[in-house]
Amino acid sequence: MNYDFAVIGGGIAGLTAALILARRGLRVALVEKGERTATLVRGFERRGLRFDTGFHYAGGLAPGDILDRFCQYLGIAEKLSPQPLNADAYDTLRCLQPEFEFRFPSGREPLRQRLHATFPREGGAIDAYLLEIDRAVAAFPYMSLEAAQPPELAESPTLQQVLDRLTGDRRLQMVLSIHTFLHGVAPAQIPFPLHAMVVGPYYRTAHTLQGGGASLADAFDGELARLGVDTFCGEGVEAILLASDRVSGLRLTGGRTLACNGCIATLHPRQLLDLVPDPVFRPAYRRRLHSLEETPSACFRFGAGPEPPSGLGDGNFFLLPTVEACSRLEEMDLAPGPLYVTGAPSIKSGCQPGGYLSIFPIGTRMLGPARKGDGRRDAAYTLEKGRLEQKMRDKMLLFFPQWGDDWSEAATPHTLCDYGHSPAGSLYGVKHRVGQTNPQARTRLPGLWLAGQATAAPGVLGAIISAFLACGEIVGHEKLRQELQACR
Amino acid sequence: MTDQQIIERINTSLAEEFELDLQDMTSEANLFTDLGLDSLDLVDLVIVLEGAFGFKIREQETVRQIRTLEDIHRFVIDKKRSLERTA
Ligand SMILES: Cc1cc2nc3c(=O)[nH]c(=O)nc-3n(C[C@H](O)[C@H](O)[C@H](O)COP(=O)(O)OP(=O)(O)OC[C@H]3O[C@@H](n4cnc5c(N)ncnc54)[C@H](O)[C@@H]3O)c2cc1C
Repeated sequence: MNYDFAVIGGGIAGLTAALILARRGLRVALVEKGERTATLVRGFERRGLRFDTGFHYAGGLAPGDILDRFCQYLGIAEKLSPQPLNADAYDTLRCLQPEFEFRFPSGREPLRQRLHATFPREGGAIDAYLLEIDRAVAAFPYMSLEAAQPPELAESPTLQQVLDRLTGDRRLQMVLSIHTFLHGVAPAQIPFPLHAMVVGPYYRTAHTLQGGGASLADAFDGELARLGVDTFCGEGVEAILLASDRVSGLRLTGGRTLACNGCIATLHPRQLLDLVPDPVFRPAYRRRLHSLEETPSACFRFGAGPEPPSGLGDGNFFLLPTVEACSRLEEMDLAPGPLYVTGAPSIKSGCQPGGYLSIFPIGTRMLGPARKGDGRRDAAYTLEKGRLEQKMRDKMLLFFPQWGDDWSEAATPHTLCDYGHSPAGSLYGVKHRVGQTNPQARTRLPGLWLAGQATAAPGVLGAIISAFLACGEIVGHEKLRQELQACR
Repeated sequence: MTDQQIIERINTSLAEEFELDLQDMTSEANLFTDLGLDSLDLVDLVIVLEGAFGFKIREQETVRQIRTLEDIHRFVIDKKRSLERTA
């Protein structure tokens, strides 16, 4: 069997790319190293509760909005049930020093009004900020169907520069920076257009999915099967094969080879380097991909208690020890950074939170090896993990003194490495930051295109857009845009 | 650094980072038709030059107009001299 295209990596970007190509009648193969597609977003079950991992909530899922339109196009919208989060407080920001709380209401206008009410002297700054977000979103390709070129991020101001220009109010800056958590890059590093692209849709609406991230993965799987995409799971790609200086196939770890005329690689850029024979990419490109900085990793704590804090059923908490916490996502200690807490619904009754999951960002490479050469747990790692568990518990108690657990478990950056097959266990792969040039869809190897969160932007939406940017290079952006237009 | 030293540093960095043959690297050599670079390589070209000379290159428009090796030489020499003047 000779495939028209083979897609490397079955995360959201790879699944999207496979569907875009397959619905045009192309013969497509998808290869995923993990046992199933989209392991990152599937989440897991414990004691009758569903814990989501790589997908908790998204903006743009209201009917006709950006993410909904992509889902329509991909043929998965009907299988998804978006649930609006609490319209009065889909996210609650709570800061300890100074003591301060802000609840994000759904919708741009309600948000604007609440910001005005909370910061009565900053009306001009608030309106200007929201307008700049709208403008940047409208200039981002595929976020708006009119925009053609990706923004020149190297020349963009950072979020911090924009905020400093607009306001000196530290609390307002904190409120407008809290969603840096959703791309993992501090305000002083994130190019404003990228920040806008990630947070803009959340400012309009915030939804979760009934059935969580697993329902998204299942919807993709169903559509892939319907369109006859051959999916190979549990076998990683070991090498991209060339013939006459262009892509001719893939060799999988099991020894199997797949012949194809073209390939879209969605894995981490550093992992890509291992698959491509040495002289193909120039040393300068290899070095660039190799030295891309990672977003932070994280520690996780999840469990259930007799009384989960009210608000967790249909909203999330962002908890900050200090007003600067958003700038401290990469500390090697758990104390200074922000913390995110979300509910875990019980599988039987659907939405009511029976439990919680909390995410504590931490710098990458902070833990020693989890296992020794013989595969057994390393004693130093076990000790360190115990210490981290205690710190996580202490930090949660700072914000919720009444917190009590019936049971709890913890996970470390190692879990993220293993579970997401990611080299550094970072939350969102490599950073998109000022001063760093990430790879784009086109490569110098004929027949090879790149997609994935490293190329366009992180998040489910960023991964989907990355696939459109790559497929647009193949089938023509104009054509894809016209087809998307028809999905309104 | 003399102009000649700057040119040498440019040429050796580019030879190494883009696997070019120093012998082909005459000043008139066209980056695209003679040396086989393509538009995608321009991003890395900028990064290599920034690394070799320790300055940031923000002149996107000028970079887009670069065609020959000499264009690069001239661009870097001008930039270095103007930085020296303001330093
Ligand atoms: C804790 C957490 C919470 C998050 N919450 C949200 C959220 O609420 N909303 C949101 O929008 N986003 C969220 N995200 C981000 C979002 O999940 C990611 O940005 C997105 O899923 C990335 O998709 P991707 O396809 O680019 O990458 P990945 O999902 O990493 O896909 C790459 C795939 O390639 C596979 N692979 C690696 N090597 C090989 C090989 N050699 N051969 C074959 N396959 C290989 C990997 O196994 C992996 O499946 C969250 C992320 C994390 C970690």
